[in-house]
Amino acid sequence: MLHELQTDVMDALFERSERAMTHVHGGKLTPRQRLDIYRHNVFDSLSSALAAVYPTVVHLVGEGFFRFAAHEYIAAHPSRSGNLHDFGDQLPEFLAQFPPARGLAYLPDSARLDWAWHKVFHTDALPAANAAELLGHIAALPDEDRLQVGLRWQPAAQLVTSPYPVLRIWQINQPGAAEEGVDLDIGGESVLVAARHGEVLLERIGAADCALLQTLASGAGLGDAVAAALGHEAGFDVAGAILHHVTEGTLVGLARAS
Amino acid sequence: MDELVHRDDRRPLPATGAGIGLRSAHYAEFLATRPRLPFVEVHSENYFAGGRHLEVLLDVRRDTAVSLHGVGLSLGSADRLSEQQLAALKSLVDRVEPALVSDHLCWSSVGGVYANDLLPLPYTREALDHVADRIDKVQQHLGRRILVENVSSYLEFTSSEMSEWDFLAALARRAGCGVLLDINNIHVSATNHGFDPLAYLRAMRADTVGEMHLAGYSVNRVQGEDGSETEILIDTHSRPVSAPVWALYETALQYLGPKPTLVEWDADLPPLAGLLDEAGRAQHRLQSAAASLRVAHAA
Repeated sequence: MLHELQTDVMDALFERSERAMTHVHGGKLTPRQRLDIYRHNVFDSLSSALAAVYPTVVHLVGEGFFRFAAHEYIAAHPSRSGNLHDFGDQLPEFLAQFPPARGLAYLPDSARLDWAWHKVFHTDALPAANAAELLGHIAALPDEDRLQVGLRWQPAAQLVTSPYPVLRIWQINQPGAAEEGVDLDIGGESVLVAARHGEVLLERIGAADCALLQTLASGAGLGDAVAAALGHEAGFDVAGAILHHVTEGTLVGLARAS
Repeated sequence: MDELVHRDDRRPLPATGAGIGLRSAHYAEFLATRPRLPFVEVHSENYFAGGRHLEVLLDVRRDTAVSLHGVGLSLGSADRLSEQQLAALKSLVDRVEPALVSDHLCWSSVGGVYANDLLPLPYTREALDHVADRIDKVQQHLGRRILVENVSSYLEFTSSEMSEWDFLAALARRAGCGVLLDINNIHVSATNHGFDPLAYLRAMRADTVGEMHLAGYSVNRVQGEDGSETEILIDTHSRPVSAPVWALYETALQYLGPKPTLVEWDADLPPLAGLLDEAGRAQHRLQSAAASLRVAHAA
């Protein structure tokens, strides 16, 4: 009985069936009006949760359009967790497929950057490793092992790459930013999003650096990562980049490469 | 369920203490000024993943007791308890060692889909058995007693076999849980459904009520089928505590004695000082209630 009633009410909240009407007392309002109060509350609070996670998207498309898109998203991809912070992970892909947003090609990647910020803010950061010790250890490995060794990715760090200048777009859509345009023709950007000293920082990184980090983050070994980086830029300073990312805590230790 | 150790008694909250909800918009000011408060309450789920939120909470916790108030256990759902949610709560409870842990008398999910809203239950014997069993499982898993809070509601189910207050009182007896009595929610539901709020208070046993909540509501005007307007109170946590809720709170303190009380404010947040003032108004009433209790005992 309880399961049936709850299923009927949930269906009513998502306007999938009318069966819940028979479970609800009317009185001064009809059962539908009473269920509508809940339906509005649910869509309103889930839309607000999405808006809080995707401030850049809200700023880019405006509050009204965002509410409209959020409503469609909630109906298509309802929440699956009692923790609202888990909700909204599929919005970037949804926006990429959402016909009314087709004119804004950079919108999905801007959404990815918002989601990366959200994930980093809500993840415990591992402490940075001792860089001298870690690099000394790698240097002491026999050549063939050195190419196989992996570097452990900071859980509170995310990479976003885009054919659009997503970091510039993100920056001019921050509260208080000067109103200026971004020339989309300047090309793509790769952004490292990471927790530093209690704040979330966004750092623009080069294509070779990004290839290095992406390969390591995927669990591959140092040999593959170096090859990926040098494939983008023959003279890239791999050792300097690794020292930087270990010191900053983006790579936090050794890992067995998969 | 007497074998459950009441770990919440290790650092009990003063019965005459009024706290506030700690919200991220106030973090910086709170850490800079560190207001003296008997406790702060936070939404447990916001701290599950750790990160910056949990850093702040663990910092605040050094000199202020913490109450973990959940919105996601979906205690009344016909689904199985979410092991993921329960494990996340257990791990947070272990890290924060809160004075109180609570969630709601409601359901918010079924078939794996979450409305992330506090939906009312049909007050049936079947639901009572079901919810008592789930609360028992949660308490066993956490190794401590939880408080269960009455929610505001805008509808009632035709299948209900008892009142909400009888259901809640029976649940506390059966599951050995405590009650978090939300005075604003009693007022909101009493107005929406036309019941006597004092009947609610009378059904509660003083020793099961571990905390009270106060908050502000909004008024929606809905046009009925006959064209007449009906006012529906909506629990928005977006306004100061209303006069009728303060009055009902004073009566509740007479009936049940002083209880740790929280002023909840989640939307359209005032500055921190405004929230502290509102808690001060609750504190004042708690102290008056405690004083009149002493007079009554002395007489």
